[in-house]
Amino acid sequence: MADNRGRAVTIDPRTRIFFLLIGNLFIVFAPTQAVEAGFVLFFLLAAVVLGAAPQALKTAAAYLLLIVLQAFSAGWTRMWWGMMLFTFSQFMTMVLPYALLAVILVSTTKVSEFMEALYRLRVSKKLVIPFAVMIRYAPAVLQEFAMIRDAMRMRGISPSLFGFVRRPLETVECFYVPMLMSAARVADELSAAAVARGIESKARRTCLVPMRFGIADFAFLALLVAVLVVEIVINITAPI
Amino acid sequence: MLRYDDVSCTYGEADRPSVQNVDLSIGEGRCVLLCGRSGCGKTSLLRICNGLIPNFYGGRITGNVLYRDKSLLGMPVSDIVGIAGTVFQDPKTQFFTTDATSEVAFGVENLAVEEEKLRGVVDGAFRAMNIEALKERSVFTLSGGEKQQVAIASIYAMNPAIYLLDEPSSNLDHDAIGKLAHIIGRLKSEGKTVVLAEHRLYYLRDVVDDICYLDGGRVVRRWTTGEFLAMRAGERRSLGLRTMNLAEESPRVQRTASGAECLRLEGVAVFYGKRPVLEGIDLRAEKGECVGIVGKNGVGKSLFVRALTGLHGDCRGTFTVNGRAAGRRERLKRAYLVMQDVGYQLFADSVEEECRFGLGGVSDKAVAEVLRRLNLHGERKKHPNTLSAGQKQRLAVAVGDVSGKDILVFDEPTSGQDYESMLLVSGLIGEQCGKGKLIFVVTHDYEFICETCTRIVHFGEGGIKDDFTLDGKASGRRKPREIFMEEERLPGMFADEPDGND
Repeated sequence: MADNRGRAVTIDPRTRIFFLLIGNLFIVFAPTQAVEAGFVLFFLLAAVVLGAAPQALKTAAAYLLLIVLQAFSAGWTRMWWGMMLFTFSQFMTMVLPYALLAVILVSTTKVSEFMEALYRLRVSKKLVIPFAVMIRYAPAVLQEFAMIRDAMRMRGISPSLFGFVRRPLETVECFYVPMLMSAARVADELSAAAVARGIESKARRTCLVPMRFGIADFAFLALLVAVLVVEIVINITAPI
Repeated sequence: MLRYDDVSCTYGEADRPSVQNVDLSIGEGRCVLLCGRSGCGKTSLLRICNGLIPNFYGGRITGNVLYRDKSLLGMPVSDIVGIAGTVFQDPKTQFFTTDATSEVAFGVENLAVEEEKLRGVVDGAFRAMNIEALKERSVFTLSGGEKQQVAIASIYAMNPAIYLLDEPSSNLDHDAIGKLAHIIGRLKSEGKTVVLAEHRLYYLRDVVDDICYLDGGRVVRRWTTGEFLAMRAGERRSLGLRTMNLAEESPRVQRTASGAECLRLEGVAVFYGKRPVLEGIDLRAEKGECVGIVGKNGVGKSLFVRALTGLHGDCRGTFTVNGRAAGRRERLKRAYLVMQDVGYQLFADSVEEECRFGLGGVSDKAVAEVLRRLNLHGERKKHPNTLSAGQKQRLAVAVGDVSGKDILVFDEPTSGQDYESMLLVSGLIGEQCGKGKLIFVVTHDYEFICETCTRIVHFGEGGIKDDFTLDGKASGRRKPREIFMEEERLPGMFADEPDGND
């Protein structure tokens, strides 16, 4: 996933982790949806600078689509389907900005960089290793999904939204049973492989990718903090 | 010198030890093969050496394991990794990072090698394994063989004295297996000790020095490679072992086709994205045939069977099943794919339910009948996930059978299986052929092809390269050998024709 080619500016992974955290606060404190949308635009810009444009664009496009859907369905909330659409799109527009931040971090950060960054932030090994396994496991899940979808189609169970509406329980069951089984196996083998390559070593691990906190990092962090402070001040002083 | 000194080991709950009183001395620079049926204890022996038993999997060990007179037992795994490195069976699940360079660096980083030296060590490993082209590549774009090479490079970078390989060939094609043999040779030439647990033996012919046969956790037989090769085929098979000399094998299935056409493809082209992967495919197959689909990885075998079963829609041309034009939906109904990892296609919470799941209108009688025939009736109340790998495979076939599919496709059904399990799969497929089903098997397993297939369709160069029947005629015997010869590019693998084996 993490690909250094095409990255316009090199920013320390620690900065990227802070970006994820502060970005979350931006959304939490956003007073209106318009402000929130503005932040999403800002995240998108940051994604382009960090070299995660394609992945971030997809998430942002979904966000835009959902806002349109929300605006449209707002007029039809008296119909059952309008209410469903409205609730769905509202929920999703609330979640997507956070997802966008996660997508940016995961797609620009290598597992080893991420581990190194957390170690430098003095996070305990007990936390870092499970986090690293999680990041590693996420893309594998997508591949497994595709296999299970094939298997369902051969059984005549349609793995689509329509199929889900028609036979919700069967569809859900189809995914979670094989996923759970394979997740247990994959996690076990993955951990064994990591242990057999010394992940538990007492020595402080080193990292191939050099890590330096530069001017760009300070500038970016300063910008993030400034925006957050302004946002909070406006929030406090604004009449409700 | 690596020495197992009267080692026994029992896993947590087990009432029977998985390794019993093993004495084994392995000199430096030697390559030792541990073989035997699944569950004979060969993997446990490796895990005792690398410390995963007891540190990761639990278990009680008695006796001692010594490297240069230093005991490895009681050492933390993170200290053993510098002495003994492990390559696992499934290249998919031994990757911890998402690009090849980070992966090779991962182990050395854990060893806390200074950052200034890291780059040199990592580059050196890529060079030694001759895989510099894979640097920086995303793990998800690597083939199984390439993943395995990166995994070995990652161990190589840590520079252990001992390499432990646990069934390293199970997920590889013939080309990749050839390269693996080459890499093992290289490690030996550097004075490394290599200990392998393996079912597939033919590729080790030129690199292995000693062979230990395990049964019930004990080392019961030992051979040098010469002695092993001199052993009669009958004796080898009775021990449940695969061949070390592929020339001993030749196609033996003589099934007469029914003459009733089941499937016809005319001018079929299969696309992936916008790119045509396969073009101009014409194929006619009859009921009762077992067609082996062979060819190098990446030539489109999987795509072909996915198109055939209706899972992949992006194709042109006409498909005819049982005399009727069959679009994608129809093919999904008529054909069934038994996946390599059957776990993904078992959904229900009992074997019996599995045969009905999603199908609708399957009678209890039909379910009972098919389960009895496939020897699963005794397990009908069990949860599918508690079955053995072979039973799961049979259950998937039962589902295909009970849902009245005419075409069954198997994707690498014998990877990682011992000789006897391979025979069972072969028997299972034979039965289905006898019932008049048309079978396709995607496989790299020459021994299995000899045992099972009636015909070979060889994919390559964007289409079908060759298509022939495995009959008694000379061409039916010669051609499959040529394919596997050409794919391996390892002269000597089919060294000499043996004179009289069954």
